[in-house]
Amino acid sequence: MAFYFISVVLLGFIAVYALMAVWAERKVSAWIQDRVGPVLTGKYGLLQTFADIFKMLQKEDITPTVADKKLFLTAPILVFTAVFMGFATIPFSPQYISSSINIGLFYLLAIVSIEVLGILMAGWASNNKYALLGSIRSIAQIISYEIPAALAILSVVMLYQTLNLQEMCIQQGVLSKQSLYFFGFWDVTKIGGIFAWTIFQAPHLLIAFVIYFIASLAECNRTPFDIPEAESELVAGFHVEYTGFKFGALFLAEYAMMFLVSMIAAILFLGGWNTPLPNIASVALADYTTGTYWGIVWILLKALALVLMQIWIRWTFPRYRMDQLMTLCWKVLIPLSFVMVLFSGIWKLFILN
Amino acid sequence: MINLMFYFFALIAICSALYAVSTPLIIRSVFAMFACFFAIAGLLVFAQSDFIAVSHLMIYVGGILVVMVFGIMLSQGSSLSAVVRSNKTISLHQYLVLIVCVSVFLVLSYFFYQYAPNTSIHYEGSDLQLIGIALLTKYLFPFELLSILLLSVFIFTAIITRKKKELN
Repeated sequence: MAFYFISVVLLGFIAVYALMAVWAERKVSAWIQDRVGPVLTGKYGLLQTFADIFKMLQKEDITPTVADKKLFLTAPILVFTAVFMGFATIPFSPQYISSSINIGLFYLLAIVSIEVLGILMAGWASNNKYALLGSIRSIAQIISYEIPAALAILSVVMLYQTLNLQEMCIQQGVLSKQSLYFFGFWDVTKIGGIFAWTIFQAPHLLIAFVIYFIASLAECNRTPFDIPEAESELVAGFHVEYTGFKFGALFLAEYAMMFLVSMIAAILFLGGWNTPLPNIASVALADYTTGTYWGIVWILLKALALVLMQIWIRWTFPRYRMDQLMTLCWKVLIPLSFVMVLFSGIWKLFILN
Repeated sequence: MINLMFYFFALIAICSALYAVSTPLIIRSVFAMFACFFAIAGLLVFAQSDFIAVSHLMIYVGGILVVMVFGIMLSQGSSLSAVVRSNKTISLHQYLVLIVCVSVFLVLSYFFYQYAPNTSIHYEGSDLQLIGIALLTKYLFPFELLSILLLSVFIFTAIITRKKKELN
């Protein structure tokens, strides 16, 4: 049952979320740049993106004459399907998960590579220099940044000894059957809340979280890693030839990807559907606020907060150059994430035993 | 329902494989191969080896296919029509390949009907802990051997790509 519920509700949620995220993006950018942003359409300009999407859907659906028509049509579908497939193993609460499989996290890492192929397809099929350059840049970037992301994830997996995302969530709160320690010295199994989250279970996991967050920015082509769609260099990158509904699908996939990586970050590092409120003596806040509906609320709040952080970062930092981007990945993040994996092994063997 | 999905995946695998060998555009046949790999990963899930299925996706789709697409892009001109194969005449070696393929298919299907267990399809999921323990105990030597092979490939690729500078 959860499968049908999640698949239908999630699709609607992602569509509304993407529209609101675009609105938030415009508002946040306006505030950062000391403007007011959209104000005329609806209260606080809330209906602005709805109006925009209606305008976009009415636009002519142009396929360039020299494009490869079949691939041009398939690419946006493939990109969005790949991202949406990722949500199959995401737990929303202790009961709500589409597929609680043992290889959940491994599956998620594989899904990202399918999205890569979709972007490549879009770039090639457009038969446009800017689109092709954008997609090649995007792939070089995503493939490189998959490594530090995977290693940061691995350092968490070593601690929990499972790839099942639901079991990982359980091990970060009051429902845990193993004992949990805040930074390795304070038993918080009964207290739960924010103290039992992954980032507070071992000191090096805070750094692993930062590594994962940076890598996830690169994986969804967000600033400061938005060289695939650098407006001042490549017009719009791999989706420059797309119009109307196809462009909408690519746009939706981009925002869904932001949400997906934020969900993964929330589950792996920020406690998933666990509450941030701890049990304080007889006031058992953590026990009250752990459950099906609370779980959905907490995980969505955490993921949306991370999305907001991505938006905030976009309007704060300038874009990296290609060589700077690769230097950051191969010379800084990858060695650092290897050290995190090593620390995880040491922590598991010597501190937790 | 599950049986239906099995046949659906099998149909996709066969159709996309046929399209991949028959289309005149090489780039399209690579993307048809992607559909084929994807369907095969689906079939592997039905064979109760979901770990292999996801590894298949990761290695073939994430690794090999992307490399192939890059290879085609970099070796051909930027125009799409430049990458066209001519398949007007069927030469002798194509007949030989056809004979080999058909005979392999016949042998495999014979063994399948002879020895395949006639059980219904159901999904359990693989125990990753068992796979991990087996890799680090029983199969430690091949595992390490493979990692040394991959490391040497890694190093030699770096050497090959750097050599150009010295030659010039």
